[in-house]
Amino acid sequence: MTDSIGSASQAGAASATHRSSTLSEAPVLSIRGVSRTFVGQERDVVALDNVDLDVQKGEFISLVGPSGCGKTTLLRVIDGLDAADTGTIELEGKRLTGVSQDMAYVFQDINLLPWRSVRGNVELGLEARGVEKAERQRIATECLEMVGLKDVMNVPPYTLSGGMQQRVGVARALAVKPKVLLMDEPFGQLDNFTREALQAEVASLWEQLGITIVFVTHDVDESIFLSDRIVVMHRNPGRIIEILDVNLPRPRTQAEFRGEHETIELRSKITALLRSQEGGL
Amino acid sequence: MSVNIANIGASGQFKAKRKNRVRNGSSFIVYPIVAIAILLSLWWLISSFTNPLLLSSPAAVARAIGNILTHGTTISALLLSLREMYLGLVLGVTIGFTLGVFIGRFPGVNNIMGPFVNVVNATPLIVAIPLLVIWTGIGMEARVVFTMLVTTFPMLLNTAAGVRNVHKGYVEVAQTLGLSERKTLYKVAIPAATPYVLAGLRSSLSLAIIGMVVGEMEVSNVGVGWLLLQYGAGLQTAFLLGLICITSIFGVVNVTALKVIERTVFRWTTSTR
Repeated sequence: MTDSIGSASQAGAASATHRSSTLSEAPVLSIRGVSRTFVGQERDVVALDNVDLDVQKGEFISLVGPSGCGKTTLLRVIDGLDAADTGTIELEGKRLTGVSQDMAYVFQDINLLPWRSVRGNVELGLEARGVEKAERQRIATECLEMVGLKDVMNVPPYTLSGGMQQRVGVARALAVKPKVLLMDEPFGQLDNFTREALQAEVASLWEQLGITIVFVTHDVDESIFLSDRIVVMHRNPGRIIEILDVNLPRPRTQAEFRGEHETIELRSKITALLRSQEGGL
Repeated sequence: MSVNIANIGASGQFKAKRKNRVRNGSSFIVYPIVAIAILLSLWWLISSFTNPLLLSSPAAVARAIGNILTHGTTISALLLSLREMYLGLVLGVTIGFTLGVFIGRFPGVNNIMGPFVNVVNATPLIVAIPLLVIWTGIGMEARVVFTMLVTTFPMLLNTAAGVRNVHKGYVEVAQTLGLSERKTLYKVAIPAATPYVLAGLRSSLSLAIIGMVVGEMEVSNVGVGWLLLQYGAGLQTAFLLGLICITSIFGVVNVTALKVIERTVFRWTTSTR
């Protein structure tokens, strides 16, 4: 088992350079031997078992797997919201302890603060960093403009639709200028059309800003549409079983990518990997 | 054709909604008026064949209220009561809020203070009045301190519960955005506790009136409490009922003011979820 993880992550690291020239050799994010067990009353759940993963600078990487495979736990451990039992996380060669200031997290349940305006929510991370008010408002307005919500920046967040709220969630994360953006099933609660629109927006933001994104999803097509690489995970214990490259040209469009030969092949490969775990709990 | 039907449906719905809104708006005024009218006529009916010593007529009570509100002695008694009530209330909710934040935020403080708070909260505070008199005399201080004590605990318990039960998602947002513990407390946990704090304030408001009257009857005879004792001793039923009406109007004004604040300043507490 350890062998298969090692070879999978090596294969991934070796072929991750298709975004070519701008990539440096050293990974921006390096995950080594991370394990996390949740101790329960009935039984212990091994959410992560000795996980290794390298994420390259500027890369869009997705973690895909069934519920209970530890993909969200891995994302939380990377951010520092949850602590690993063993193993290390390094960002640009520096070992992380606690919550990292250089990464931002987009939650599935967005949790915008209802007593603040939309812009006030985007400013929160800047307030943590002691940015002065005028500058804070300028950056927040700019980030809201990027997600197309400049017009509603003064309204309370609960007056917005789910899709708009998650756009605010993205703007809130982008406002702190993260080196790595962590997204935890951000579109899981949205309807199909809104989800596809937001996928396209995130893809174009990622291309514009050149940031690194680690994206958790259980939607196979979503991961193919967005990613450079797809990490397929297995549950019980949670581990990486396969890392696949996505060689579709960019920019991709929702209308075209589904019919591509590459997409069909990846989809069947990933689906087979996921299907093999059915009833495995 | 189908377009037409859809149109009719839509406009019909729109009309229904508007009508509904109008009805809700007027019911805010109409229903209380109807209720008061029913109450007054029942009261008038019963009092017409009852000994006025037991139940005065609405007219007699109205005259008594007019009397109370136009005489210097009674006016100054009412104002004194109001002043002491609000002083005690402000002190009580300030202390309750502050302690509540600490107890809610720091489990250590909760472990030490919790049992003490529970014991005092479970004690009917009226038993402390003789002791308060020994400590602070029979002046304003004892009465204000009593109102303060009575109003502290609902505020404290509610605030502590609110700060302790902050939605975990909000805290994680604060963590990942890098807010320090202190900033998380006053930018996230305390604002998030607002609905609890308002609930505490609501209880404290109604207890403040009780605290005020009890203090004035038990500590030293001034204000509304003194008036009540006077009228009671003189079997002045109309004046007693008039004073009850005035006191309940105090209460209604307080609660309504709080509601207005909730719906304007803290609108999110009523419009979210």
